[in-house]
Amino acid sequence: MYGMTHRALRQMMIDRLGPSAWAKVERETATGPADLISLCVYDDSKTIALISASAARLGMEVDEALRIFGRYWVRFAELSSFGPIMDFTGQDLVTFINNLDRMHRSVVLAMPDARVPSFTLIEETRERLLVRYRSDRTGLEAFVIGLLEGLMDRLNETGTAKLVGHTNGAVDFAIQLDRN
Amino acid sequence: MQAAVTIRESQLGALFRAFIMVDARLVVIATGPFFLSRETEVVPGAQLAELFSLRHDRDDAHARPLDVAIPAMVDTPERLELFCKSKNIRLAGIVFSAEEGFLLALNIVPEDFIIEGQGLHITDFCQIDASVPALTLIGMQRALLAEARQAAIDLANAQAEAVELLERTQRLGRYIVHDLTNYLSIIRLNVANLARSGGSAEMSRAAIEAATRHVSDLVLSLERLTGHRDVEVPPLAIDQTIRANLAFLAASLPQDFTLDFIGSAAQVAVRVGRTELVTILTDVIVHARGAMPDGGAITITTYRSDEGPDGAISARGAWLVIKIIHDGTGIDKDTARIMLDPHAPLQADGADFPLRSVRTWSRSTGGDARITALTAAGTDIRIYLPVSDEGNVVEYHAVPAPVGAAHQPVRTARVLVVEDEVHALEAVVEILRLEGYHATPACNAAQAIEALESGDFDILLTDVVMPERNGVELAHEVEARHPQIGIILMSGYLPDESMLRPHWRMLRKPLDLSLLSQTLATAHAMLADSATT
Repeated sequence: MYGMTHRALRQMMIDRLGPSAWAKVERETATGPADLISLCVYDDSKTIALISASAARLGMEVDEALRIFGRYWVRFAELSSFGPIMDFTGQDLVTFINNLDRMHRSVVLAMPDARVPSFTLIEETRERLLVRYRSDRTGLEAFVIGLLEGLMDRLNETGTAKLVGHTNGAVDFAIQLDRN
Repeated sequence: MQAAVTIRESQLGALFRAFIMVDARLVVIATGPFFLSRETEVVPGAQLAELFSLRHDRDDAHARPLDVAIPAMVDTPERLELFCKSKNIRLAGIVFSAEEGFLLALNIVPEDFIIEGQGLHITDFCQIDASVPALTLIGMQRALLAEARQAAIDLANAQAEAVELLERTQRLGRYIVHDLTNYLSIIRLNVANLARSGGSAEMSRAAIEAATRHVSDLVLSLERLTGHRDVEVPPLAIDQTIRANLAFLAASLPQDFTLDFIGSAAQVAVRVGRTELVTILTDVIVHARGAMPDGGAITITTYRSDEGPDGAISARGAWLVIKIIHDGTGIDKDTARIMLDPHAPLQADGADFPLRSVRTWSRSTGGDARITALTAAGTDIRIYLPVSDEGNVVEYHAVPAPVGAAHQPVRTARVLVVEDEVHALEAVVEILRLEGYHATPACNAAQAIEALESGDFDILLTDVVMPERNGVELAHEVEARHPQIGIILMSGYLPDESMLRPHWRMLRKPLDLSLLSQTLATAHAMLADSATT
């Protein structure tokens, strides 16, 4: 994953447990400033090591840490230099999800080594959205649930996100919105 | 013209997000989603010429008026560009004839292809508009540049911090070396004075004691500097640890003191570092010693308590209390308060109150410290530490012999003394010889190994901190080659306990001669016992 992910994780850990906790994560995973450069794409094993060590510090299972990190990631991105692009991509959940792939395409154009996922809105009702997620990475389902929760926070929606099934290498997530 | 296809307004809006339908007089009839999604003056009934022009700017005198240009463009491929008169909005497209008048099939043309500040969203563009990838790519590149700039700043800051830390460490290192050298000189001069018959023994003893106290403070500074505090520690059995280090703690006290321990917190563990705990207790004892010019009794008691440092009653037995009482000179309440208050002024000579470090440390563990002046004489110091109920309690056995051990020294013991500081080596060897031991000096680990190859020894007495190979490494090697040799380490600080063997003995520097003698005697007596059984 790219370095911005590591920077976001660092910020989340500092927010939650303080700088010394992150310093311990860095020591345990032999991480230094050179692993936190937003533009650089790092081997996934580095990211996994950082998340695992952070989960241990947070006293959480890795999946739970991934979920809260996914949620935090959206907030971190919108406050970063990427905020204007997120604003541009969509001001409501449906528009945003429908245009995520277009945004990710520009990520790949700008950073050819980046491996980005794909999101397709395959069903839409007033209270329920079904999102199909494709990625050449595995094991990040909890992170995706966190992302969808983060998007709901960002776009003033409340509801739940959960994994509902796997289809031909893709994973389907249902967003149940609290709309009366 | 015969219509080739019929197109609905919704489809029109999907293709031309900013379309405008006008009648023959260029009055707006309908608009596309771009205008519908935001507050704008482009609404049905508005006069197009009042809102837009063909001019790039107000001075463009060659631009034709709209009521001339638009009819002339109808159903031609000629590009129509409209400039909003009140906002920085540009529209481009072509003109179709329509039943009511004209259909201006327009899309947004972003200014400068920069997302920020234009108020544009992806939904303002049709799905196939090439502006979108251009805008997002440029936006992405600008964001990445900003991130790169931040990363460069972070790296530069990290480098500056590292350089500053290095400089600070060097400064502190130089300061410590300077002070240590001074204190060492004081100790040597006074030792020499003690050796002379006409010298003042009491004055020298006081000077040496003061110097060693300052050196202990410097050692503590070094421990902090090396960052021992930041290491996660497993729960530690307090009673066992204090008991194991009692003789070590007693080494801080002169002969006219007694140190007792009453451990009532059996099996209770707290999450603190052993080195820190022993250092802090040493701090308290050294401080107490200062308040007891004529000697006296110091008692350490441990117990589990429901009552916390603030007096609040919490979960059953949530606190481990280490109580240190001495019968020296008492202090008044104000002094007691100042001694633990980190914001209070320093002592008159500029030095910090040593017990502040006790409070700082105990608070860093989640606990606290309290000090109370006793009514008659003496002081009651209590350290509150939160009890850890977790398993994996560390048990530490590397203990020196208890004070007053009953073993009689065996005077013929052969002791190999290893110490890189020549004067200290000479002094220890001389003392041991006077005590009746066969003492052989070695200035470093290599000399010690050489000596071991050419002679037999009962005990290895070695300094820990030495250049090239330290005393702990030497001890491991000696034990591997000569398992019958007893090992005694000497150090001013506690080495990494994971490197120590449980049966090794340890003496704290500055050396207490009687404790040295007892430890040697005990070690040799035990070796003699094991040889005969």
